[in-house]
This record gives sequence, structure tokens and C-alpha cells, in this order.
Amino acid sequence: MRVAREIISFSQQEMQSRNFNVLKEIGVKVGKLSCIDPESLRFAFDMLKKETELSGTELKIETVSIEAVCRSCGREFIIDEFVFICPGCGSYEVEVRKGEELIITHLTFE
Amino acid sequence: MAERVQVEEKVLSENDKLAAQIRKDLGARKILALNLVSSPGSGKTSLLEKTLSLLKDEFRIGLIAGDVQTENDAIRLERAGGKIVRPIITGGACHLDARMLGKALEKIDTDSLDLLFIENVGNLVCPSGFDLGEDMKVVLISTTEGDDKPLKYPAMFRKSSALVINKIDLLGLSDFDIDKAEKNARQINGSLHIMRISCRTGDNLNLWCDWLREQVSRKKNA
Repeated sequence: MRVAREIISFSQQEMQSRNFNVLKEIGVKVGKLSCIDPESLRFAFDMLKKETELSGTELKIETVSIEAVCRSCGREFIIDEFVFICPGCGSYEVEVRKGEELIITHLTFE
Repeated sequence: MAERVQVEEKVLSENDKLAAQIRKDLGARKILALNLVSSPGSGKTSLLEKTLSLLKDEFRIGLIAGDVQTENDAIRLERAGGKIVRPIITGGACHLDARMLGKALEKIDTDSLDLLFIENVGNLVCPSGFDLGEDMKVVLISTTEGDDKPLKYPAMFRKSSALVINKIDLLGLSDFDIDKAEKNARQINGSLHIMRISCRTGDNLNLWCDWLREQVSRKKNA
């Protein structure tokens, strides 16, 4: 809810400062480790947008997988099941490279 | 004519900026700030009560008690000997954010502190997304919960530096398998420092206190 509100208020400010009247689409990237559930975010966004000038705006959500690299052997891998252990050498020294994002990537105005 | 504008703006960038400022301010004063997170009822307030009774003559401890409603936790902490206690009532929000913390810190004389505990709202989801400017997150679970908590809330366990498993005096009375809980937590975060304690009986609280001493001294000498 809070995240949806932040997205709306940021978009409203951008719309105003860039002198557009219609915002067609907001693009967001949501990492699987950001603890934001895309469907809940969409639900909150669609509910909150109704009372605003963004009532016709689409929220385009791109989910980002968790990409990690092993600090011991250098292997790069994708984490599906939240197991932060290197599948190559079994090390727990795993660095997350991607998957924590919560970013507004683009705004499409009309 | 549609126009696409790339923005690449972090959704919580305002919060992150305020948190960075808090981190800088507390860092300049060499205050160790710990953000204590857990489900409701795991024992955050109990752990802080015990910590106060054991360490209040050794360190100058500040406590920020976040709650959705009521100042009950803050009142408990004052009764336990906390001299510098500030409640934050979030009024519905399920987590603390850096703005709320910044406001609470304005009311505290931070120059006189060694250690600051921030007791977050009982919730393992949302607080993980909101940086408060703390040095570390400490996550607490208890033996009356499921031993799969780390798997259910991976982000929080991934972002925490230490895990406290409370209520070990009740082991055996529920299906909680403590070794399995630890294994689950390590699978998410191999560098977690894990402590098994009981606030009720005082078991192993020396481990917790020793860990705190080490962190405070590390911060002082940083």
C-alpha cells in the first residue's frame, strides 16, 4: 500500500513537472527479494489510482529473479527457492547481484 | 503521441535518503543502532527488558518502541529501567520508516548514548524494505512459532545480521525443531550469528550480552 502510494505520488510529480496531462503507463521492476508481491502491489495501485488523475494509468510490473554469485568459486546462478547456497561448491558465501530492486523504470505519457 | 521517459527511480528513495542521514548522524556519535524485528509476540519487548536489567549500568541505552497503537511497550521499557525511551505510534502502518525514526530521535539527547535499540512493529514482511539507518537488523523468532519462519520470510532473514531464537525453555512443548530452524535460517543467510535464549528463565542471555558488548566496542573503535 505504502509502495503503491509512493509510486503514484512520484508519478504525479513527474507528470506535473514535465507538463503532461495523461500518463499511460508506469513501468516498475520488482525483485523477488524485495518482499513486494506483484499482485498485491497491482491491487493497491488500482485501488488508489481511482481517485486521482492516474485512473487510466496501467502499471507494468516486471519481476526480477534473484541472481547471485558465489564468493568462493565465482559461479553465477539464479536462486528460485530461496536457497542461498552455491550449487557448485556448497559455499554459503553468496552475494546477491539482482533481485532486491524496487524501481520505477519508466513513465509513458501521452 | 506517446512519450516514454526513463526514470530509474527507487520507489523508496526518500526513505533511503533519510535513513542515510540518520546513519551518518549516529555514526558520527559512534552509537550502535540495532533494528529489532520479529513477528508479534516473539519477545522483542521482553528481550529489551532483560537487556536493560543486565546492561543498563554498563551502557547508556536508548530505546525507540514502535507500535501500531498504544504506548504499552514503551511503558514496559521505562518500568524495566529504561531512562531514554520514546514511543512511535505508527497509526496503522505495519512498519517504522526513517521519517518516523528521525522525528523520534529529535526528542532524544543522542550525545549521551552508546547503544540504540529500535523495536520495530511486529511484522516480518514490510520492515525489511525500510532502511532506518541502523547498523544491523536483529531478527527474533520463538519456539512457539513455526521452524520454517526463515523460509517464509527470506528477505528479512537475508537482511539481518543476527538471529535470536527465544523461548528455548519451551522446547519440546511444541513441534518446533530448533536445529531445523537454524538450518533454514543458514540456507537463507550463511553469515547470520545465531543465539538460542530464553527471556523468561534468563538462559543464555550472557551470549546475547557478550555479542552486544562486542558490537558496541567494535562501533566505538570503528
